Amino acid sequence: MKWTFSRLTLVVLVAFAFIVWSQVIYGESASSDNLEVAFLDVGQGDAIFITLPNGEQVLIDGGPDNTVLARISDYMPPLDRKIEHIVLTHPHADHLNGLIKVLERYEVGTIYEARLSYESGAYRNWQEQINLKKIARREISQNDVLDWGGVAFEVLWPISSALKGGGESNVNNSSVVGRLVYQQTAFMLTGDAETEAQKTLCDLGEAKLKSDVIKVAHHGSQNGTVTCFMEAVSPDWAIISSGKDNKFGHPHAVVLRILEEFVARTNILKTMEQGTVVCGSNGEVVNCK
Amino acid sequence: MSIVVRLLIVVFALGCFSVADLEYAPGIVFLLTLLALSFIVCLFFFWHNKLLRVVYGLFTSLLLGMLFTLCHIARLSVADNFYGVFEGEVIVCASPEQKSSYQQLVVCSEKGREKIIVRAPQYPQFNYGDKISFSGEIEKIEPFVGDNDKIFHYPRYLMMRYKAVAIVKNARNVEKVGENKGNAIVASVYKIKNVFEGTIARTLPEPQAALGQGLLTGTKANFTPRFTRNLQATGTSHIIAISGYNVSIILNIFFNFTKVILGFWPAVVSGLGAVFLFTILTGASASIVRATIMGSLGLVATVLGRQVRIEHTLFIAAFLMLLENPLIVRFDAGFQLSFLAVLGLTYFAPWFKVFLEKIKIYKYIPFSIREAVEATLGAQMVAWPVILFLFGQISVVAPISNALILPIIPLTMFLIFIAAVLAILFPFWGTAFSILPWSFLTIIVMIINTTSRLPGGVATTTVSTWWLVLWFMFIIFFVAKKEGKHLKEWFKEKKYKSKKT
Repeated sequence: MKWTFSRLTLVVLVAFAFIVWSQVIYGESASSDNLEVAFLDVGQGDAIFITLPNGEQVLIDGGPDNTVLARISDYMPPLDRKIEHIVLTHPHADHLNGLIKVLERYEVGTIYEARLSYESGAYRNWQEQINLKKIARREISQNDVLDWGGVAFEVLWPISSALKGGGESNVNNSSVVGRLVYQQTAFMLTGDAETEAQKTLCDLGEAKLKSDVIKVAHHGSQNGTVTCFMEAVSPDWAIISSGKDNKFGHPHAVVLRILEEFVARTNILKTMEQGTVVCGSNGEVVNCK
Repeated sequence: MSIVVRLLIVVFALGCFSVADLEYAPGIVFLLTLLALSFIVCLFFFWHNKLLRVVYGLFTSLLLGMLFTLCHIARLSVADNFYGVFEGEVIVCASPEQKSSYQQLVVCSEKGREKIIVRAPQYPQFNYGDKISFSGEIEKIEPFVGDNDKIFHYPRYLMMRYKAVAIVKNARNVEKVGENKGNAIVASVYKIKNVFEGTIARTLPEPQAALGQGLLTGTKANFTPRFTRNLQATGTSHIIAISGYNVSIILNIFFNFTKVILGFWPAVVSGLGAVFLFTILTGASASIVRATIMGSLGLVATVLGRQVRIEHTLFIAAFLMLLENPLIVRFDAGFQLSFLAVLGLTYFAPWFKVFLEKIKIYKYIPFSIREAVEATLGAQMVAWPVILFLFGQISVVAPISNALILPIIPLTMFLIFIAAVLAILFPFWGTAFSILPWSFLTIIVMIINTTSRLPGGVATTTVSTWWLVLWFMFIIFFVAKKEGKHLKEWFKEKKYKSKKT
């Protein structure tokens, strides 16, 4: 086909109109007083994308593959190529592999993870990329509090002495567990912490654990939810991040029974059923859908 | 090119098709050779009779196609003692493919010609030319029953695609022990490809980046399964399948651009060079090789001051590709569909044009959209039973989706290319400029996703082989009706000439 001058001009004008409107639409969501936490639908794995009230972004885990890239595009302005904070709860493939893809494509501010010795090709690639790109890296453990522009991330786990490597269960139990606090509201983000870690966490008491939303640990696995921990957190909402028809049978029926003791059935949301779950907080009230 | 030569090529392809799933057997080959020789003798003996000349010629061509394919298979096959436990070092001799839970490598030994498929863990990632060590069991590739209950001849498919004869399903202890063992030119082409793809990935968000990579280099690795389904449902997969369409765009951009600046001859060189580079960059798949040969022949014909006829270049391209790899005619859906589509474009699109122009309001639609509608209908007309046969579904909304998308594809490709080059040289300006390709890619993604949701957009049904045969008889009838007069002319022409001499 031939591109006459007038037609070309028209196309360029349409494109620019599109840009302006997209900036209007996206720009609004970027700077508001709300905290937005999106539990992304990445299949069998975890990936949580947080938009802070100051417009900065946090990504906690990246799911098992590159699905996360398409998902975060829904929550980022198109020209924004930087994610300010990334947290890796623990280096299992269903949390790490997607993050490697994110590192390949996005500029990253700081990476937070627990100190751990773990051997896998993916984890080696992850460390090599961090060193190669000279990305700031911070090791975190219990009692650290990260300040993300008015939102606090209180690290509850792991305690620095519990970090000795070993079996897969130990890696799960070394997961970063943190409470994301924005004014009166809080989110409990549990990684894959299993029974052992949660039982120890119960001792911290309600004052340090109470949250409006809990991301159910270990994708709703049988060894991922303990009654005393749920009692202390006493959430209004529970989010389960797992994949459709996953081979582990997550979430487990026993876990669902425990959850229903504390949370209304309609407030238990599963990414495998409804896709990405988004929770918004204005500092006082949390709403998830 | 005369109609008879085209017929000879078609029959040669038929010969390739008929034996492509057989094993090499010396007895059969001996018999076929004997038969071919006797036909050749007859051919010379009856050369003066036009009808017999054509008949014997066609039989010879059919047999040569069969023989050629059987020898090709024999050359690639291995003895049974090739399989077994393996531990040692090999070279990665193709660009690795990242699958959802493993990476697929094509490896060859340092001097041996046999190629093996190796499935290795996702990390560490390897590159073309790496020397790797691994242990695992080299197994025979087995056929399997596909989704549509048809047996899929997987071993022959892999032989066609990678020239591979065996598979290691679960490679252990895969380690890199050396690099740069491959062909230096191929290695640098892959490097350029990686730089381009990496730059697009860093400049654009998903899913726009995946579509951008698909348009520019034909990579499908980053598509989400859902988007792939949507592409199929809207009959738009061909825009990322890198076809004659993309090649003609590249050819036109480079040729016309250089022609304005440097003149005619540099433009020919730059056009051919760009298309050649593009072919390698996109992994030289069947459809793009076909398109490149056709495009280059077209350009050469223009240079020589001769009229270009698509049908002619199409047949030459097909023949050259069959000589390189006769198995594609049976096992490469891309080859089959791309040829049928071009056949549809040349024979049926004009027919749709005449038909649609009878509708009064039709001529008020912009030319580029009308062209896209006619082309899509023409290509689908020939290809749809084959698509149904292969995939069990066909897009009904395809003309609508394509009419909306195709007119903006050339500009989008151009903008992606500029953005990528800018981003390599000046990252900031590349990112700023990328908003333009981003907008177009977003529009395309939106059109694809929206039209894929239209009710009744996809028809699913299965087609039996007999329907397919019936359909092809119809196509042959249609083409024969159009070309029959050429055949008659050919006979007459020879008569006239022979009288004269």
